[in-house]
Amino acid sequence: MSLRAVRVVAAGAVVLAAAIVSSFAFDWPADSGRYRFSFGSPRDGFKRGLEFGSSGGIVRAADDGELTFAASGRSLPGGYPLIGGSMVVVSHASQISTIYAGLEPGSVSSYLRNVRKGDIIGRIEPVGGLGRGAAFYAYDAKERRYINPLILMPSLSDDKPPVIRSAILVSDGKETALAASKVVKQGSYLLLVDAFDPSPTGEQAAPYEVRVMLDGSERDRVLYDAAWAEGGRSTLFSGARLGEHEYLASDGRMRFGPYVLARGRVVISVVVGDFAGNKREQTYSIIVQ
Amino acid sequence: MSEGKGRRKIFTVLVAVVLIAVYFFVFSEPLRPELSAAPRWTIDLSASVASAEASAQDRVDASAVSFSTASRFGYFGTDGSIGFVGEATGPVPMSDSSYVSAELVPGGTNYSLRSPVGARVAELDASAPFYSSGRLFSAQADGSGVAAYDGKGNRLWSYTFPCQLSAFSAGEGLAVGGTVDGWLEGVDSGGRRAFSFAPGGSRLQVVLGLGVSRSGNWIAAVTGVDRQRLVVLGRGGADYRVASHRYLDSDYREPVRVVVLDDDRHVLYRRADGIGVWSVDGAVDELLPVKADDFDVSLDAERGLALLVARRGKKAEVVAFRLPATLLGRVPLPDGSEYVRLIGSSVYFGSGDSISRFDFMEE
Repeated sequence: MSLRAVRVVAAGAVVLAAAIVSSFAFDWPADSGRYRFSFGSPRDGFKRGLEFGSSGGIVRAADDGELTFAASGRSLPGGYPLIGGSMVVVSHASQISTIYAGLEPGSVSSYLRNVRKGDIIGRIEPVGGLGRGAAFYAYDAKERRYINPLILMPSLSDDKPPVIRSAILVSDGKETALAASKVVKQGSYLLLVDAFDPSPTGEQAAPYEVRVMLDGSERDRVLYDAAWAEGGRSTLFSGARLGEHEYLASDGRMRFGPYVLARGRVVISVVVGDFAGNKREQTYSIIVQ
Repeated sequence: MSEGKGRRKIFTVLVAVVLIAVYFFVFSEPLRPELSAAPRWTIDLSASVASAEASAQDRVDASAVSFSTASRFGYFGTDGSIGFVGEATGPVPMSDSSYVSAELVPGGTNYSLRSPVGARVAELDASAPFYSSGRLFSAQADGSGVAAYDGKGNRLWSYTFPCQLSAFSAGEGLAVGGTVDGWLEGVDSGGRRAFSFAPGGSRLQVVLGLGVSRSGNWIAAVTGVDRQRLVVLGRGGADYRVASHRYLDSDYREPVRVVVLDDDRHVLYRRADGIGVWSVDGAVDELLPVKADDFDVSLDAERGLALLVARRGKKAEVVAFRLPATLLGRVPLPDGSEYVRLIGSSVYFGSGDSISRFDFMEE
């Protein structure tokens, strides 16, 4: 099977899993969808769920299921920290689990066994100090991968398009901002894209889709649909299958390429979309010498 | 220090020692005739607080023992000498050879690795540092990964697990994560996957607790819901294989303490009716009638004596037993004993104000 075929099959698996779950659609677990950071936001690494920050807010079960695990306090028995608060895991049909982390210690409904959609799971640990707000993850235990929760929950009204702050070509450690420069030397370049999608609370969250086109031909496309780890290595996007550290720079910029730019005029387009379908496109025309 | 203050301090320490001795006689269950608990010393911590940057004379020897309470942390000697005491505003990650200090800065926290005398060893590039079996690690922010560090604070490796960890334990050259979807995944000293194993056999898969032997040769885990299961894996060449297992009657949905003793043979695990004692080959299946939400255990191999500190809510007691499960006696600790540490046949316990030591002695 070719690599492309593998990618298509992998992408299909996520779509299938999402379709199975979507048939009984998860509810928003907190605050009517007012999340701070979305799947893929750079939060000390690639955020594999949603992050909510409402102080004292209630977290509710996204769907019917069974409580599998509830850990209260600041750490697990072996010392592993429960960062930001307590954690609850609920198993649902079709081997999907929802994971609720960053809950206020002492607020967790650990007595629950059979969980009904909307049952209170716990309170959000306030942001600040040890608290980082609550996080919500949708995990496909069969495929052993996280699914972007936005795929599984009711859509939100959103008319704000993403923002593209910069696109920069990098060669041999030298950065050339596309907006400022019209001329570059021929060679092999990485493209660093600094873009975000405003979240409902106004934070700089991740987009849902990023495409890079050279002279009108699509060269790269990532869809923020899934993330998983294999052999200790974090991997992103069922279609593109990129290593997290190859894709996400430490400052949160997205890395594409490398692209070999030959002499002549080159038109580079970056298209960034959010989950609601809003799009932002930036096109840069440069001369390669 | 004035003469009056010195007398008051001596008086306070004497009263504490007397009270602890009386406490043992009045409240403890009788120990077997051949065993006795002998108070050794009490340290007054309130008079010993130093600044985080310890002075040159605040030295501790190689037998330094770390302690951490809600309000204080530091090091003391097994002879009752005080090494370094600092004020704490939260949990301080500590081992007997180093600790990590935290400084809140705009947008996050800066961590520093420090020696037992408070000297800065290195800045630490870490999200949430912690120690396991004396080794320094850091948890990944979303709870699904771990990074390991050397004694100088250099990051050795980092490893991302497929999903959030519900259990973690480390031995020499091996760190093992148990995941919320029921897998055990081991990481070797080079940060490579040593093994990956799903115990299965239950309706719902989850790892509720695990322990790795100090040698890294044995891993024991309580896994699954409906039915729950104790599984022991042993090193076999380059891989780990199931050495023994048993189904349990419990229905835990929360972290479960599992410990593999330093004798590389016995496994202790939390049960609804006490603490289970199992052997890695499955030949031993006993019960210690000690109910505990959490526990720690130490083995004095020379005397064949094992000590266990059992915690239930805010209550804690020390239990002496011979393996596999011969109860020798139990000594309740005073309420508010935030800190309990077992080393061989010695018990160190206390709060933010004082630390005391008593030893189990055989007649």
